[in-house]
Amino acid sequence: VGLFNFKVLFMDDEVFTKAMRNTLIFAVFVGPLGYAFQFFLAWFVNGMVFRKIFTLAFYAPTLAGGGMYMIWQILFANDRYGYMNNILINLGIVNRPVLWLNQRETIQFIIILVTIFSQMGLGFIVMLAGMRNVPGELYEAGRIDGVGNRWQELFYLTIPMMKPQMLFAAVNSIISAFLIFDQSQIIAGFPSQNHDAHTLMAVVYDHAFIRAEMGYAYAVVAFLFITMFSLSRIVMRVLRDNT
Amino acid sequence: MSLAQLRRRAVRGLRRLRFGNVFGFLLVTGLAFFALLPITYTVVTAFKPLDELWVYPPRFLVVVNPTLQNFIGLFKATDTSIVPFSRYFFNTIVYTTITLSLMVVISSGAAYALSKLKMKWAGLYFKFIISALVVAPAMLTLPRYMVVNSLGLNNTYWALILPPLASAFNVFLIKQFVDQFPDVLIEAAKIDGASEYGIYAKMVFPNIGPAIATMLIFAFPGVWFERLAPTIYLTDQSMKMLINGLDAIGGGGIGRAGASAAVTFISTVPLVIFFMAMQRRVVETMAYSGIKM
Repeated sequence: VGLFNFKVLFMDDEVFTKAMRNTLIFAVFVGPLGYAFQFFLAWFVNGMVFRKIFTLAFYAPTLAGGGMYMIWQILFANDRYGYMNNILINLGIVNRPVLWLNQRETIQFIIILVTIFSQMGLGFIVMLAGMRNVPGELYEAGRIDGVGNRWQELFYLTIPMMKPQMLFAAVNSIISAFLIFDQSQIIAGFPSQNHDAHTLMAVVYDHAFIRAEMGYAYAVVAFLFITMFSLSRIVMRVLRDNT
Repeated sequence: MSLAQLRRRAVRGLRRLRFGNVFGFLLVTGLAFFALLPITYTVVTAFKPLDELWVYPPRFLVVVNPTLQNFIGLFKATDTSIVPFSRYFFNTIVYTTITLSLMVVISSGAAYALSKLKMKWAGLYFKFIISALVVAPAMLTLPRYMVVNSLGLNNTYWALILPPLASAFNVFLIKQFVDQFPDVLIEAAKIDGASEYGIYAKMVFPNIGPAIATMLIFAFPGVWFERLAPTIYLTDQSMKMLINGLDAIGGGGIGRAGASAAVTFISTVPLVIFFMAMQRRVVETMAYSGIKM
């Protein structure tokens, strides 16, 4: 009896399987790709002039977060008034407006893009701080010991020194990768056409607050929690601070 | 900064330039522009008059006749059946202020207790808190709803204020910082007869300013733009928050894009100013924020 909700979930619910697939697609792109993006961005910005201005620029989307999703919808609007369509038509790349928000590939691409950009702030700042925390003498010592180029510096000196920060950012990436809901709801609508941008959190919201099927919603939450918890355990294993 | 200083800085910067650096610089600048695109759009659109919003082909980052009409319109809802925008503002400011103040007191108090009081299970508690970092607020929506509902807090602001106060992230962040505070000083104060509360309030709290600032920076946007909680708990329109008003306006399409941008503009400005003021302290604090196991 107790596992009934889970059975229905995995066997019979088409919307759930679809949401599951979407969430996994989002997670694969937003998680590792977004994480690498944050890392290299922090690395670039750390060694650069105007560091403060860049930090603000990359943190700004996170600050504005929830308020900005609406704007992406206007940028990618389906008609000729959508800025993206307009630019593409003027450049002659397409000859009729692209239905950005109603095709599976494009809407998922847009949500991945928006999520990466609007949630990179925290990880970016944490890793930047980690990099700034590495003492300069270490690099000098490394140079004497034969650390030649910047890539070697990165792999042998910087990364081992900033493991705690990288771990923190990784846990944060897992969270933002699996819990996409607000942005898909605002940009693609709720429910989105053909459930193409439906995520697991959307399923939770749907069942808990619209259909009042709490048990079913809890089953989804439990599934999400177990997935995220085990993933972050694995990440903790990999990035454990050995010093 | 004087002009000579600026010039010296620029020269030093130029000397460090290599091909790889130039490429990296251009790449990062491009990305920064892309990241700022929505914000730039908001600022520009907020000052666009209605006829320019409808111009075809659409002008993205150009406004010919800037106007304040979008802002004025927001505050001049004369019809009594519509909730005026100033009310949403007032609600959001009050709710954010109360939530953030309570958050500072509770999170820093918990962090101090975990770090310095040498309680019996402190290590275990902290393990729990680290595990709870994975549990994002969004996943707690359901259990929270049950609790709030059974406490009878529906349709009160407490339903919005109380849940975010129990934040694993905040305690974690501040605890890492309080750990740096020298135990010797606390011992000395104890010998001089200071109470635990006195030590916390007069010695530790004034010294963890950067951590508090960082916590506020991270908590502020989440609280300010909390979208789900007001939709779930509040049924009274006049109690709703800025973000709900923003969503309602945004649903109006291009014709309301100006008003929508004006709201976004006003609501984002405090966040940006706050961040700029606190930026240095944030980077300082985050250096201590890694998860050490």
